[in-house]
Amino acid sequence: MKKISIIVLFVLAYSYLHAQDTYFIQNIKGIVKNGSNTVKKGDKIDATSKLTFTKGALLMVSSQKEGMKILPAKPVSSETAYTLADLLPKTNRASTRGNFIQNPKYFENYFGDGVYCVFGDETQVKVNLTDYPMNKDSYFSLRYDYNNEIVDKKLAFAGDQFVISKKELFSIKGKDIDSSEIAEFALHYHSGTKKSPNLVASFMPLFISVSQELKTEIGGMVAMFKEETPENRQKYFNDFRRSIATRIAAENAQMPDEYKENLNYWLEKNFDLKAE
Amino acid sequence: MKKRILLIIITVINAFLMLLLSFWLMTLPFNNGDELLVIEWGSKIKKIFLGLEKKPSKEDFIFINVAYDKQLTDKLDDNGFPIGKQVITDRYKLGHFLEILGKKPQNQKFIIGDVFFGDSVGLDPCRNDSISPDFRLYAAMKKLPNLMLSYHLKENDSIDYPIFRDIPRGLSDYTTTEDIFLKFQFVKYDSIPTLPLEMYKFLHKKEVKKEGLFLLSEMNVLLNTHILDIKIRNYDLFVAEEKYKMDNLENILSGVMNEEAVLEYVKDRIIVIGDFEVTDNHKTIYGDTAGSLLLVNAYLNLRDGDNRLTVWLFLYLFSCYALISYLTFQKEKQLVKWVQESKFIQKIKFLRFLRNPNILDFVGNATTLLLTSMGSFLLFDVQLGILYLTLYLFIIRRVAGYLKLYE
Repeated sequence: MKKISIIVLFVLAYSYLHAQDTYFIQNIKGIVKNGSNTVKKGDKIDATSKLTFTKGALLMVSSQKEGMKILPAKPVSSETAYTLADLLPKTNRASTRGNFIQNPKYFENYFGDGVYCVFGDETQVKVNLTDYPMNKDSYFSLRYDYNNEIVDKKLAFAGDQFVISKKELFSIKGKDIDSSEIAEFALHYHSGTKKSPNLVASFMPLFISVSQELKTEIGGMVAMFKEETPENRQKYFNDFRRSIATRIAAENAQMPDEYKENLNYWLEKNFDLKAE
Repeated sequence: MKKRILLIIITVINAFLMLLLSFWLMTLPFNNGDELLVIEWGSKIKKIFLGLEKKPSKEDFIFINVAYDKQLTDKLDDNGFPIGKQVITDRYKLGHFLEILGKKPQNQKFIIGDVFFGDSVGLDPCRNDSISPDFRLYAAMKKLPNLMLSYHLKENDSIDYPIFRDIPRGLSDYTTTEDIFLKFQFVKYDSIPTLPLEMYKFLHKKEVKKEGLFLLSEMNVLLNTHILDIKIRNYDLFVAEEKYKMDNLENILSGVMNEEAVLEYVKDRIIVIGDFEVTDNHKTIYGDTAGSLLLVNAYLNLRDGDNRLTVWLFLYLFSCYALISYLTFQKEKQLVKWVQESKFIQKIKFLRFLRNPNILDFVGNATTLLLTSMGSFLLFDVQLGILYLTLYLFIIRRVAGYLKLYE
């Protein structure tokens, strides 16, 4: 089973050097655990703490010995490399990513292997039915470990889309459960013709509630550019999309710097705004 | 024989003259721009690539970044009328922080407040202020005898006093060469002490007086203007694996740490409050460096005696200058002769200009002076900045030729 990347810090060499150090947790992005407890802003931990980070998660701490630190620490270049790098010409890199799952290879790109943010309480994911037919015997499930028990949640579907719902995912036998207790989620595809399911992606779903103020603001913006020409509308949509994701991230401190999200689905569902 | 004795006397006199000129050049607030490259790469090779430097203790300092702790306040025109808003460092936060420090004034060794308090801030009705943040800040400052504020000179060189007149202060201005900071002057205009000097006097209980081109401290002669050895650089604050302790004021006052924890956080350290990221960065030979860091480095140079004139440095310079003088007063310089006769140089087109004796003399002098400077840096960690002596040597050789003083 492919696991969500976990980074374990402190327990060895680092704790040896800084065993007496105290860390005040100033801010968190993503999900960080100290043993089995989720780390919260304002917590005080020491250097022997065993921390686990979901992919992309970050901690801002004030260390008694070193001042402000971001954990996990990034690899540090030597001052020689840093000085020489200053002499080299700077280059930029651009990247693109697909919006919907068209075939198997896009699963990993779509969910990544870190945090997948779901704006709102549910999202639908469109798949290619030729590769992933969905019916009574063939379906997707999200599997997780809760209190040492494996829970396998069959995901509802309609047509060529399956549904990830917060309510469905975080309830067992009709009772709500604490999602912070779950470290990883694995998306499986159950094929009616095969005995064992296929793991297609691992990620940590993070359900994000968007404030009414921001929704009202977005609604106003959408109304403003509905009158525009298709070319302008497309251009505005592209710019608008990124700025909305940034605004939502600013409202939600737990969102890590690196995440995938269902923004297109959310915009379409809430504002009838389609990516053209 | 007489001529040989005369030559020795002239050589010694000239070496002394060069020594005096060197000290004078070293006291100038600027440097020869052509020498920058040598100083820059000499420093980088020695300090960074070869790692031949001893870093100051990381236990001595805590750098508190206020780059993003801002508030809006009225901008007044020359007549005192509000003409809009300006962004200043948040005085509420500073006041709160200093109030905490004031509960144990001796908890921290020293506090550098490298924030300029130029204009007053009034009551903010949105905060239901009953007392101006300036009063609160002032009251907190008065409880801290080891606090020193920085201030600047206006464009016309008059003093731009901070609004808190009776809080100890030190000048924090410096000059640049080709927009790059290189030299720090500890006393400006004969009598205006800078913050690092005042800090040194406070922390080490030492008297430092300016006498002519130099500073006198106990039995030591110090250079007043000095090519600063930047021991703590931006790299050490933001990139290095083992960084110097730095935090944002926002974090310290976030409530995550209670007052006791804050006092423990800064205990026994020199607290440096300044903008380390946005507005107060200066180009140096090591790249951008925060202004507050330059003040700290100037203090460290004083503390470590980097600008002290030692007998060994004096002897080294005198020996080098005596040798250069001796070569200058030779009728025919061996180097000139060798280059002019060199088939190698004759073959390479772009080096043919060196066959001109005047150019060659100039280049030769510049090279020997740069080598002297590099030797001083390698042996004594003192950057000299003496390239202007090239011109002096060029002239003195021609004067000697005119007076027929050549051997």
